[in-house]
Amino acid sequence: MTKRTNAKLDSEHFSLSSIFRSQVFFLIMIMVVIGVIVTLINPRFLSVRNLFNIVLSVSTIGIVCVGMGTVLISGNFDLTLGPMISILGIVMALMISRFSIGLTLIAVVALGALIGAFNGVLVTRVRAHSFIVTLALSVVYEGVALLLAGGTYISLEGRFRIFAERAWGVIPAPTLVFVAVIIGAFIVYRFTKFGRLLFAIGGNEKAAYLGGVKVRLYKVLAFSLAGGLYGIGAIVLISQLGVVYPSTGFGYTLPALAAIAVGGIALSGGKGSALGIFLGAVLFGLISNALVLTGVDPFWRNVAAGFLILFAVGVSGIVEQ
Amino acid sequence: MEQLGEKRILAMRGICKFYPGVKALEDVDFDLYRGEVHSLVGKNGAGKSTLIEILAGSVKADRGEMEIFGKKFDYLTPVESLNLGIGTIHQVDQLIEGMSVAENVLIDNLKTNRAGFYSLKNCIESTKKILDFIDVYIDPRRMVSTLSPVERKILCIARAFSQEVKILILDEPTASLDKEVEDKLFNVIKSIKQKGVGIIYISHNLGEIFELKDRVTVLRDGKKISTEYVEKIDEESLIAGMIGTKAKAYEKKYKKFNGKVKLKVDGYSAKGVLHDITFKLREGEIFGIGGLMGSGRTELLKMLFGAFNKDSGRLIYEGKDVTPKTPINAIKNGIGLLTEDKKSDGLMMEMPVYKNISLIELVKNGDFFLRLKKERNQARRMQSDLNIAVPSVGQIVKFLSGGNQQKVVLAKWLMANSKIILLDEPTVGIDVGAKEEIYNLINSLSREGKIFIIVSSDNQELISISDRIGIMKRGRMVKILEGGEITEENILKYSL
Repeated sequence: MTKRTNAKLDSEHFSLSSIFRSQVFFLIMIMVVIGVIVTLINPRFLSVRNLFNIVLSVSTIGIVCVGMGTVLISGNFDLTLGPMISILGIVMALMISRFSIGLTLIAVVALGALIGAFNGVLVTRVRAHSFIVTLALSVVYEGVALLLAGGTYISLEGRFRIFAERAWGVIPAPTLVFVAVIIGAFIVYRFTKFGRLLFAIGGNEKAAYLGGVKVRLYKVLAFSLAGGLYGIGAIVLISQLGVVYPSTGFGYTLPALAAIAVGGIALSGGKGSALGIFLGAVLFGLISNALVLTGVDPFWRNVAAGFLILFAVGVSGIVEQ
Repeated sequence: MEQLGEKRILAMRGICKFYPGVKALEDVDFDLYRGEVHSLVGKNGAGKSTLIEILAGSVKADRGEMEIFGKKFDYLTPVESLNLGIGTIHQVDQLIEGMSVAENVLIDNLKTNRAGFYSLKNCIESTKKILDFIDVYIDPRRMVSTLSPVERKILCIARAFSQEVKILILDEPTASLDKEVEDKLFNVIKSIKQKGVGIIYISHNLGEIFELKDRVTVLRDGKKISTEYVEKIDEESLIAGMIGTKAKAYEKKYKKFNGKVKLKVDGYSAKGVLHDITFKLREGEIFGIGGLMGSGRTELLKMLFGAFNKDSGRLIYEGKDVTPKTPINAIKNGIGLLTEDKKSDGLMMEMPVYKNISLIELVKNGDFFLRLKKERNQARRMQSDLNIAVPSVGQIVKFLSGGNQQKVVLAKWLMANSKIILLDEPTVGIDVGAKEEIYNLINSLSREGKIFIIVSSDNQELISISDRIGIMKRGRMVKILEGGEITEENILKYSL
C-alpha cells in the first residue's frame, strides 16, 4: 500500500516539475513579467485594443510559422518561406483583377502547396542538407518574384480588403485565421497519424524508416502543407496591405525561424507544439509592442528586441536542462 | 591492508548522493591504492556512474568526504579533479575524426616551436613519448578516422596521459570492442598499473575483472555490498551480490527439433559482402549467428529485413515467399529488426515510451486519427507483459536503462505482430539481471511460435539462448553448430 502511494507521489512530482520546466510555462512567465513592467510604465498596454493589436501584428508571421514549424518538426529546414510569400502574394494580386475572389484564393493556396511539394521532392532527392537546398531555392524564388512582378509593385486596387477589418469591430480578421491555423496545427500534431509520424521522423529518421514509415512521402507532405500555409499567410498579408512588392515577403524567413525557436520547436526536429508556436510568435509581437509603448528610441528597438529574444532562448535552454 | 597504508591514494567515506525520489549513493566507502586495479561492478543504476562523476568533479556529493593524496575534500570541481591527476575515459570517446593521433592526444596542450608557431613535429615527438610511456605504438601521424575501435580506446588513454595522471577511471572500455582485441587494451592497463597509477575499472563483463585482478567493489541500489580481493571470490558470488539473489546457472537442454521447417533463408548473396547464405529453422527453434565483427552478420540481418541491397536470395516462411525488398515490405510480411544501436536507429529517444511502442502498429493501420486511449492502453499491456520498469508509459525513453530500452524496442515489434524477429546484439550494454530477463522473454516468445534469429558477439549468450548456431566468417556461413557441438571453443575455432 505504501509503495503504491509512493509511486503515485513520484509520478505527480514528475508531472509537476515537467510543467515548470516546459517551454510553454516559461514563455507565459516571460510574457507576464514583460506585461507587468510595461503596464506600470504605460497602462494603455493592458487595453483590449492594444492586446488585439499585438496578436494582429504577428498574425501573418504566426500563420507561416506553423508551416515552417511543421517542416522543422519533421527534421528539415525551410528557408523558402519569405520569397514564397512574395510569389504567392504577387500571383494573388495578378489573378484577383481577372478572376473571382474564390478561385484566386484557392489557386494561391494550391500553388503554395505545389511549390512546397516541389521543395520537398528536391530536399528528399538532393543529397545535401535541407538548410542549403532551401537556401538555394529561396534565392531562385526571390528572382522569380522579381520576374513575376516586373520589378515593381502591384496593387489590389481596393479589392478584397477583408483582412484589413475587424470582426464585430474588435477582433482583427487576420487573428481569426491565425487562431484557426493554430487550432488546426494542434489537432494535426496531437491527434492525427500524419502529425505523429512527422514527429517520429524528426525524432529519429532511421528508426522511422526501419519502422516502415514512408519517410520521403511524409517529408514532401510536410513541405507541401507548409507551402499551402504560406499561401494563406500571403493572402492575409496582401489583403491587409492592399499592395504587394516583390520584396514584401523577403524579410519574413529569419524572424519566423526565430519565433519558432523561441516557441520551443527543436531545430533538430521531433519536438514542438502548436501552443509553443503560438506563444513564440505572440512573444515577438509583445516585445516590439512593449518597446513602442515604453517609448524606446526606434533605432534601439531592434537592438533591444534581439537581445530579449536571445535572453528568452537562452534561459529556456537552461530551464529545460 | 595495513602495510599498504602509506600507498593509499584515494579514500571516499560515507558518500551520499540523492536525486529527487532516488538515492543514487547511500553511505558508500571506496578506496584505491597506488598501482592497483579496483573494479566497480553493479547493475545499471547501481550508482557506479554517480560515484565516478563525483570523483571527476561533475557531480557534488550531498554528504561524505574524500581523501586524495592525503588532502581532504568535501567535493571537487572538474578543474581540481584534473589537477589532482584524476583522468576519466568515458564509454563513448570524444575524439576529433578529422585530426591526427598526435593532435588528439595533445588537443589542450598543442606544442609550438621556438618562434611560437604551432609545430606538428614537436607534437609528434611529445605524442611518441606519451605512447612509449603507456607501452603502445600507434603512428602519431595517422588520422583518427583510420583507427580501429581498440586503437581509439588506447588513444583516449594516451590523451589522459598528456597530463600527469595518478588515478585513471575507465568506464566500460571494452563495450565496443571485439573479444579478440581486448588483450591489447589489457596490456596497456597492466603497464600503466606497473607505473604506479591507480585504476578504477567499470565493466559489465566479469571475465575482465578476473583477468585484471586486484580488488572489486560491488554496488547495488546505491549501497556498497562488498569489497573483496578478486582471488578470494568467484563469478557466481559477484553476480549474486549484483542482483541480490543467488543467480541460477543457466542450464542448457538441447532439444531435438523434428517439427516442420518454418523458415528458409535461401541463397542470400551480395557481391563483396555475403556469399550464398542458406539455413533453415524448424518450429520453436532459436537460431544464433556468431562470428567476428565485420563477418557480415549485421549485413545479413539487414538484408533479411530489406534494408540492405542484395544480389539474390529468398526468404520462405511456411512455404510462402516473403522476401522483402524494403523495410515496409518486411513489416507487412511480419518481419521485425532490432538493431544493435538503439540510440541511432531503434528508438526516438526524446519521445515517451508509448509513442515508441505504437510506431509500427500505427504505420500499419489505416486510421487517419490516432486513438490515444487505445494506444496508451496497448502500451501499458506491453509494459506489464514485458515487465518494462517505468513509472508510466509517458516516460521519455532516454531516461530508461539499457535493458528497459531494449524491451521497448521489442514491445514495438510485438505490437506490430511480428512473426520473424531479427535481433542484433540484443544485450550490449545491458546489466546482468536485465539480460536474464531478456533471455527469458525470447524463450517464452519462441514457445508462442515467434521465430528468432539472433546475432551476438557474446558467445556465452549465443550458447545460452540458441538451439543452433551458424558461424559466419568473411561473408560466408562456414559452419552450423548443433547439439553437443555448441561450445565456446567451437564458436571461436570456426570464427577465426
